Amino acid sequence: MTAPHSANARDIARRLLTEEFAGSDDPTAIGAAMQRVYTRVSGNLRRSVGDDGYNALISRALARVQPDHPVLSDLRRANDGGIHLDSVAETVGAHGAPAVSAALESLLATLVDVLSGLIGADMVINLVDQDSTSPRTATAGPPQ
Amino acid sequence: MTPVGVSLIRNIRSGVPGLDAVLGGGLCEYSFNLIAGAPGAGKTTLVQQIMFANATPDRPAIYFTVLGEPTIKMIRYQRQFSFFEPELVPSSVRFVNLTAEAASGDFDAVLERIAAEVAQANPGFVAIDSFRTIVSDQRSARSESVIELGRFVQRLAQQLTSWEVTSFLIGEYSESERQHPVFTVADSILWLSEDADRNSTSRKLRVVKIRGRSQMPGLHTVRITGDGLQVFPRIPEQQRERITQSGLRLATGVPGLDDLMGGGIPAGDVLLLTGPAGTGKTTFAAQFIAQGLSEGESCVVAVFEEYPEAYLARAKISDVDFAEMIAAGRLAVTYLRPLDLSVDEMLAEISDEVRRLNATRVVIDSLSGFEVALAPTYRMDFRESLYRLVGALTAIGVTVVMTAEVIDVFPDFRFTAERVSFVTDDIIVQRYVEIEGRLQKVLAVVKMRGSEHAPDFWSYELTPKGAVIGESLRGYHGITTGVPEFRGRTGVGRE
Repeated sequence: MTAPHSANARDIARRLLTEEFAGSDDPTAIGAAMQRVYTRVSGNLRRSVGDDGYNALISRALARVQPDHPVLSDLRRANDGGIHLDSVAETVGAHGAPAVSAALESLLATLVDVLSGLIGADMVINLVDQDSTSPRTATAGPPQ
Repeated sequence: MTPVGVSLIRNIRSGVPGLDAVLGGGLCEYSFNLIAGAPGAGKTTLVQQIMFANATPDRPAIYFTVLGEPTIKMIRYQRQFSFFEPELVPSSVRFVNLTAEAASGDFDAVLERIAAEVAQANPGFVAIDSFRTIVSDQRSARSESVIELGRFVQRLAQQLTSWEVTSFLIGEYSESERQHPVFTVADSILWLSEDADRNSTSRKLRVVKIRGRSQMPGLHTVRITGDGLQVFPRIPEQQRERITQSGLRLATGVPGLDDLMGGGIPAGDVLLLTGPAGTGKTTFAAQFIAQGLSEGESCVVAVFEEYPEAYLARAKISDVDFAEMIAAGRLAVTYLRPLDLSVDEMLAEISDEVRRLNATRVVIDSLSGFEVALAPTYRMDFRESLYRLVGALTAIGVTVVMTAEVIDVFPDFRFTAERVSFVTDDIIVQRYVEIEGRLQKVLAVVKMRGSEHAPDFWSYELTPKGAVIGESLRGYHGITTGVPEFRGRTGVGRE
């Protein structure tokens, strides 16, 4: 099986995830931590590139990763407002933290790679990992 | 209390070469600026260049993107410019997408989001790209939108200024939309345009409006390179008064010629050297440069018809090695790439070299090449362009020698093909005549503004060491016919 992402992107994704749930063995806490990471990354990207831009990126990343990580189909909720991965905690309960963590790491790494190919790897980490505090208003679309 | 006459408004350096001069000193701090123009005119690049030049982590820039060019694509292409420093994103330059708010069709939501982002980041600069897409949507959505739009623009301007933000609204407007409320509210309006003429395009910038400043009027050439935009101000500041150096004459380096000119070229003059092909115009000009170099001066040669290497090979007519002089920083040979230049770009190039070397002599070789090097749209204004070029150069105190090729059509006696003698102080005409079955080169000093000069035709030779003036042809009649007749003594010597 060929990884759909680069080693550098994988390291970035792994760091984002492990920093959030470092030291925790509790699947519930790990699930919550992974949800926070994804929410932060998607929020940062939505803020910078817009909902449409984000949805285009995540669609591309999912298409590349999902065949190797079918668990992602349980995480994913799509509606008119775009693609949302807001069932991390529940999916951890059903499939276990390692499977969800591996899937999310692969997805984030692929997202980093896709975006790197478009705007350069040097900018991507700054965009996805910037301060997540966004003053978006209620009219700005569904929150992640 | 602020003393009378002291400006409260601080200038901000735009970071765009040439723009500050056009704006009368720079951008006004906390101003509300409209950047208008057609697609592809360089609006986004201009504003991002300003932001990257000025934004800091303490006073970052927020670049709001709205409906229009997708943000990812915009960043993808903008980062190709050298001013786009990725490490400044997002600490100093932040991209925020406003599409959701704009699409909601609610002015208040747009304003609320901008306010929230500004309150959080405390930016020094804000851009909304494209502002036009916000107001277009609102206009179509609401029948009472014109008044509401005006109110929205006014609130936005008021808020941004109150937050001590210098702001830029970017929009694709046409000249017929000048009644739009944003034009009234904006403190400055910069209009970018791109015109195509045959196989050449030219970009221009015009400051339509700027409050409290005396901007440089007219259309200014803009060029976009890998470094971003560069503006070439139409009227250089130095043009306003001419530096005169009364009494000082520069030796031409052509043996015998100074005597015909009353002692040389008056410093600060513009000399036109005109004649048909092969009469040695480039040689005369090269001798003028060599003479200056040998006297310790610095010089600039602008060549249009050949590469500098070819020019240097042809200019080996004296003991002064031009290549060595270039290496020593005493001489610049500037090749101005042909076919798509504006006079402002040429002037900037030549002026920069003159300032860099502190040059006192400039050669433009040749005017024919200069005209061809201009983009077609500027050729129509060739005489005006030349007038401005010469004015700007003499204003910084240099002495200019220009060459121009004319076609000998006997018995006509033409000074120039381009009818440019009005911009010159001095004119030397070269031509061929037939004397005793031999083609002889002759010249005459036909104009020396405010100075005595020899009225005769003089023969001259082109030797391996350059041109040398020979004898007066005073005994000949009908020289201008090309076939003079000897009726008396010749070789009377110089007067």
